[in-house]
Amino acid sequence: MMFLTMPVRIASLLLVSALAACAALPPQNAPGTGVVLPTVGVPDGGGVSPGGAILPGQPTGEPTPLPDTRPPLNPNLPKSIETSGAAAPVISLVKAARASLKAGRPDEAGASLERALRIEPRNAWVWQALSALHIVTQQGEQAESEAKKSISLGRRNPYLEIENWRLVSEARKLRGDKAGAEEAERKREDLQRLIAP
Amino acid sequence: MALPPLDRRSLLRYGLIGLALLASVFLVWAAVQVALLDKEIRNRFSSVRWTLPAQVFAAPQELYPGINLPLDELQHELLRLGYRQVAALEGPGSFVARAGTLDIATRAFGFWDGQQKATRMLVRGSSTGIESISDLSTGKALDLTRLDPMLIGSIYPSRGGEDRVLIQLADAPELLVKGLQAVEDRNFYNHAGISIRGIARAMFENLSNGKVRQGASTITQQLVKNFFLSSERTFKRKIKEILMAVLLETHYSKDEIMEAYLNEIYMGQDGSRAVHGFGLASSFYFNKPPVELKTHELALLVGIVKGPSQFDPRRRPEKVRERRDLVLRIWAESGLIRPEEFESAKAQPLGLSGTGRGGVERYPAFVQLVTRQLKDQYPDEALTTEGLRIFTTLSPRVQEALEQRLVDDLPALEKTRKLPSGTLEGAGVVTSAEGGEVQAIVGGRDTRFAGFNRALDSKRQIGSLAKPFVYLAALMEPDRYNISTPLADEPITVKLSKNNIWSPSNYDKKLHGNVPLYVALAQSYNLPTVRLGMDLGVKKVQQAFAGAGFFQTPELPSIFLGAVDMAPLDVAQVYNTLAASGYQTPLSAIREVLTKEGRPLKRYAFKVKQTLPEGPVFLTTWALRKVVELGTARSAYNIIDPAIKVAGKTGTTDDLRDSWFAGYSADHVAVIWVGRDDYKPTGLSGATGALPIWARLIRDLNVKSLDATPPAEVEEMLIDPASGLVADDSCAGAVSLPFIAGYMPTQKAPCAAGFLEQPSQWLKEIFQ
Repeated sequence: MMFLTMPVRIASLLLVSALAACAALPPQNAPGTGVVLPTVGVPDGGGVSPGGAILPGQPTGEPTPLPDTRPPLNPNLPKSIETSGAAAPVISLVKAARASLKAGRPDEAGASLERALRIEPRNAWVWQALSALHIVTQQGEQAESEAKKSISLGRRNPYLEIENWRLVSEARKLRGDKAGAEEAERKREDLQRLIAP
Repeated sequence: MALPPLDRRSLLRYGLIGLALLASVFLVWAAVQVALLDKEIRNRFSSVRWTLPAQVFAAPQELYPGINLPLDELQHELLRLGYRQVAALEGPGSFVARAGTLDIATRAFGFWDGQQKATRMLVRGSSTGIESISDLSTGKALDLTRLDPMLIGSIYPSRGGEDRVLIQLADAPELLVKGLQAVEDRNFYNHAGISIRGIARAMFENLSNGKVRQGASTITQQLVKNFFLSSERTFKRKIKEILMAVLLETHYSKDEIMEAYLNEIYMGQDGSRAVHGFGLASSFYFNKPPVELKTHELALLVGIVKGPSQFDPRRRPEKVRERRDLVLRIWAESGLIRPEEFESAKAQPLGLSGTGRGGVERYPAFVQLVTRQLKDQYPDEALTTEGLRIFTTLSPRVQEALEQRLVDDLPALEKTRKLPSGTLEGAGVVTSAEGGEVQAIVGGRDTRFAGFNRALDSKRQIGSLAKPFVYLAALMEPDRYNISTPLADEPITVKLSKNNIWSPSNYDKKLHGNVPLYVALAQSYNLPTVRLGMDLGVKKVQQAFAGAGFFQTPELPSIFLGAVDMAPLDVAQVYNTLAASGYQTPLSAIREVLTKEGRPLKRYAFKVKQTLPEGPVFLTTWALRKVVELGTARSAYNIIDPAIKVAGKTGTTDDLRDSWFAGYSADHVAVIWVGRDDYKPTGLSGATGALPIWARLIRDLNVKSLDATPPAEVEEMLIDPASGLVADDSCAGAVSLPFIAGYMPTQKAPCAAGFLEQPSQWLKEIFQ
């Protein structure tokens, strides 16, 4: 018995830790996919969702095809702030910001977005819009932090996150971090595959 | 012997020549003097017509359906802004309160992003918040609007500072302009700067009394006097005044002179601050803009022009009332007001605003912070003379709640702890968790005192407030530590230098054996903290502090237990970074700066930078929630609704000299310090001094519960607290703990379903 126990123990230890590592490596270390799989469509700022949004056993390493057995995406996931359940004044401020930016007034757009954040400080969509604005104004560091903040507040909504990784990639390009930009781009592509029909 | 006629004639001629010479010298001298005066007056009038201190505004109250602003608090906010409660809506600055609704006539205001028009709106709401807002004239629903922001102070030169709020003649109430003339200078629009009759009368009186007396000045002369001259009363000064008045009239129109007068005239004193002009006087005495002043209020202001120290409405209300009624009588007699208006105005009380200092100078501690942040970017001169409009982050609602706590709770603490009355001091800071905006500052228990500001300048040891940064530094090494890592609560000695051995002990002087990491933080045990810190090294803890935004921690092990001098504002900074999930935002008190014309000058945009990893910060916050749930701050939930999750830490320094609490909800970070200015012990720990104040503040602020959802890199797992190992449903008392994914404990607890059977079963399936 003794001679069997040790290898079993080691094997299972390895297995458990491998599973755990696959399941949830922090995004910055995980070029693979699978960490982002929404189970609940929680809008933003609002309710509390359980943490179990992680699909165990996703492969890591270089981009790999997703297994066919992945659970279907929640059809109620918001694809834009308009359908996210954000408060009406927040949506109108984001719209106003878009208009200001279109009219070449980025400072005014920033003021509107910050006003929106004062109303809903943890609205991932607004943080994303702020990041996009700072890409336009060439403030890479700021834009990257805001996109990451949006990822962390976004509760693994892939639609939101795809755009955030694009922004992170742009932000890194602005800062001359080519490798970092490519890494972010890979994450974006992986997510894109995840939601592909 | 008579002189020859020629000689006599020549003598006369020489005499005349001499006289003519003298006269021309005098004329030249006089002309030079006049030219000099002329130059002086033109310079004064055209270039720096008025020194305009920067005006400082609070953040405007946002209004939108769904905001958790109870209707009675909105009503309170309106009163704070000087809105009048009326039976039927009047002009801007009035409101009607009924059950469940408020009709509000808002004031127009020039915000950074444009002018907001005066609106008449209907707000429906309840004791929990606002349900709907609609425009009363169109009936259309309003998504979002805001009230005009409160003027909270101005930045004027520290010595003999003149303060004023500019008004334009076109915006001045007609009764003010006409009423002033009726009382001070009936003939203003016709004379040439001086009144010959007035001067003659004054001269006669002066000569007959042998003294120089005040009086008989036109509005132009009074303006000149305010502009240039001291209050000394000599003939020379009087002549200078007359000359300058005439010169002023030759260069400027009557309207320009009247406008200058409205803004220049001295209207009272507030400590070292001189109140100039009707704009500021209106808010100083009545807490509202001049356009909203009623007849009796205008009469009071016009009345005190005669001598604001002699007629100080707050000190001599009887005398001022007599003077006001006299002004009203003059107005009635000259037909400016109808007899019935005279009667009703006369029946009114003085109607001074409740606070001793009107709408301005209410929040000196906050304005000090604003001034400091501005001084890095603007020269003193620009701040005190150019009339900049500074829009700040101050929330009057939060500020009032914080002030209330310190004002009420410090004396109560003294009473229950049998401390001598008046010995305890306190300070507090509240910020917005995500934006890093300073919403409230109290610098001492005398909240109106503009001197020593403990929130900014009282740097004291922070005690156990430092501990979360030791634990954060540990949790940033997930391969070595997790939330349930057992730490030894056993004595430790640290050799600081050759002859300096440090042997810390626990606050309760007891040892608790092996304790899980989060319990050591929740119970604020010193020994495991020092052990942990020594394991990590001082550098790592310094780095955690720096990541949170404080860079001056000494490189000494004693920082693990809080031998770091920090002001409450510094503490708010580092806890703010924790509250914002590791994204550091330098605390800011300013949003925008506009020129005096309302042109945008500078915007202080949000600055966010991820400086600490999100997972370990989440774990630290989780442990800080346990401080309140089961640790040293558990008494907070006697005051706060237990459904509201908050995180925080008590802090106590040696001999109970400082009592701290710092903590946060989803929307606010708040720091409270209680102690004595003379550094004597207070007998209060963090849990008995600062904590109850903090807890009541959090209750009063109606905060949002912390979001318990872990970030992507954190997973929760059932743990058996006895062994610290992985539990399952069969373990009684198992707790769900968060871990950095990839670094979860793997070993199963004795209580869990057999560790060996399960994998071997699994292996059997593979190999058979």
